Amino acid sequence: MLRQAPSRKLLKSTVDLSSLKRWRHKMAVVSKKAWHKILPLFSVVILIALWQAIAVWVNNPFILPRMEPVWEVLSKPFEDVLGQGSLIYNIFLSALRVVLGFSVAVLIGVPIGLWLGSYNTPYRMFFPLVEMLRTICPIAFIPFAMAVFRFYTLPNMVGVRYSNTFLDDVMLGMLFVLFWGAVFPIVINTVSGVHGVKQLYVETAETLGASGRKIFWKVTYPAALPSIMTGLRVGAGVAWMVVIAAEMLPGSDSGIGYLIIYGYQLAQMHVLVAGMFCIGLVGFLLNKGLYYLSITTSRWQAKER
Amino acid sequence: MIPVTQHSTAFQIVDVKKTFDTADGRQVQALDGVSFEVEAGQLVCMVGPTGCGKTTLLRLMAGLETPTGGQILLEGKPVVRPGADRGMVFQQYSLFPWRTVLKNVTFGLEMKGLPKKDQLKRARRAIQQVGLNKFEKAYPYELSGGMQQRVAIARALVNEPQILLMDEPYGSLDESTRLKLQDVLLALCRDHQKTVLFVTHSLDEAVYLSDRVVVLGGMPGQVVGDLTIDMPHPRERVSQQFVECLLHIRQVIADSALNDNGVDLVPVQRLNGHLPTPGPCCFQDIEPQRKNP
Repeated sequence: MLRQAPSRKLLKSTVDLSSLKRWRHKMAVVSKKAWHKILPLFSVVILIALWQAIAVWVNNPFILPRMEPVWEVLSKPFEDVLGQGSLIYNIFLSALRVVLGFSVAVLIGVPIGLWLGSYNTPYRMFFPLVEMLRTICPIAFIPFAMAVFRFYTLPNMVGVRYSNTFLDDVMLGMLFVLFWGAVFPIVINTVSGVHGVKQLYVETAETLGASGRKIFWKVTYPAALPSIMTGLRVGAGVAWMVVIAAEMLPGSDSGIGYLIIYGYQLAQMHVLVAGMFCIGLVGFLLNKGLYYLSITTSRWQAKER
Repeated sequence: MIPVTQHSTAFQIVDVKKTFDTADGRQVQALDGVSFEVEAGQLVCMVGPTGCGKTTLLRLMAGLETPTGGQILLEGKPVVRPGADRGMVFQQYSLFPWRTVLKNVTFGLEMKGLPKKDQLKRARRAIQQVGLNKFEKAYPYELSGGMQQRVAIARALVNEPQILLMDEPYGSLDESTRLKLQDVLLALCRDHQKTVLFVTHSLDEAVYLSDRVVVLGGMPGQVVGDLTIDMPHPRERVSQQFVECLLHIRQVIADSALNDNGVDLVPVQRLNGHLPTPGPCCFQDIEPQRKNP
């Protein structure tokens, strides 16, 4: 008893000390993480400062605008820009086109990819064609799409001339071009995902009593999912790039791509730069969003490596 | 020395041949006329040097491959495709990495279309049998190799197959895990009367586990030895009986390597003049195999 008393006291104090230590360690980890989050912002600050310095040196707003007028546009995203609607309106229109074109690409590309990946004869028959067609740049399809789909919009498809919604600004030709840009990365990644499914998993499922369709949905599909998600990410990125280019070409009258080419035509360089900034920001967020979606659906794959 | 109790036959392997076509158009014969029978409730180990067709034979029994000659009968009916009546544990880590431990184990029951509640109940019981109840929510990448193999065993057991086919399941594990899992397997067999076919490289493992050891040898593979091991469990690895069995099997493997090629391919010490007297382990009378032309 005598000997136990001090030792218990000692024990208690060490527990306190270690919990304090643990807390300190935790705080150190947290602050390190926060620091890592902040670090990339410095590069942005450096870029802006560099830009401003060169703009001041060039001193010609028709070549290189300063940050102040650019910020003037960016800070009022809901106000009209050059009579073409607000920044938000134009971004929204571009995003709507991408979402619609991309969705069609997913709905068609994933099933086609799963089909080509699962059966040998269709794969041998069609995959070389896919490899050939994908090399035709989606931008090159714009004149073709304009000729074929003319000025048809989505509501026109169901016999409505004007629906008085945003859909009046979504032209079929544009959707086709976006679909073309997004569908190939999706198909190709889905096929490679299906081909990459380990035979071991299929055999395991067979010995556990699975067959045919069940193997496909319970083994092939989940095993290929990470690769499919990669395809979606790449496809969405391509669609976002293509929509900007498509909006800059003749026949377009709205969207963020149109806004920057219009700013160029009126020599409003600050509008152009503000538009470019928005394009970068949306593209960044799109990629991040899809990235988080892909790790939540296939966390196991990232951890397995 | 041969067990006197009457057993029904689980597997009948009749003159099985297997030839593979390689990618460059050649043909490789893996098995050349293998015949033996496996009694229900026995734990049979298959041993032999690399390339003797042990794994091929097991895959044929599982129905993952079809024989090019002869046939494999399971309770009188030929094996044509894999099925839930034969649980299989692979050498490689075969857990589905996108499923948790629990979901891996319920896979077979999902395929049977059991109600969710029963699935969970049976899966939890199976996980408990291999001692991993704390890890049912973990993903395979969070487990060590030994734990993954235990889950794979639980996943095979949950379907309650009468037959377990195990293809070097402990081959890539460290020694202590290996010994532990051997006891896990023996306990499962004791409690559930399974027929187990166990492929292994380790003679020690074979003698420790099995009621009978089938020695395959040669290229293409043939049965070169068939021994019954009649020792009570738990077996003592350093007992004289145990070591004698071990040496005996070694001798069989070494002899078969000599017979085939005239060269001693198996780097084991020759045991000239020291053949253990028929004691706890003894040869069954097997017919002499055909020699390769």
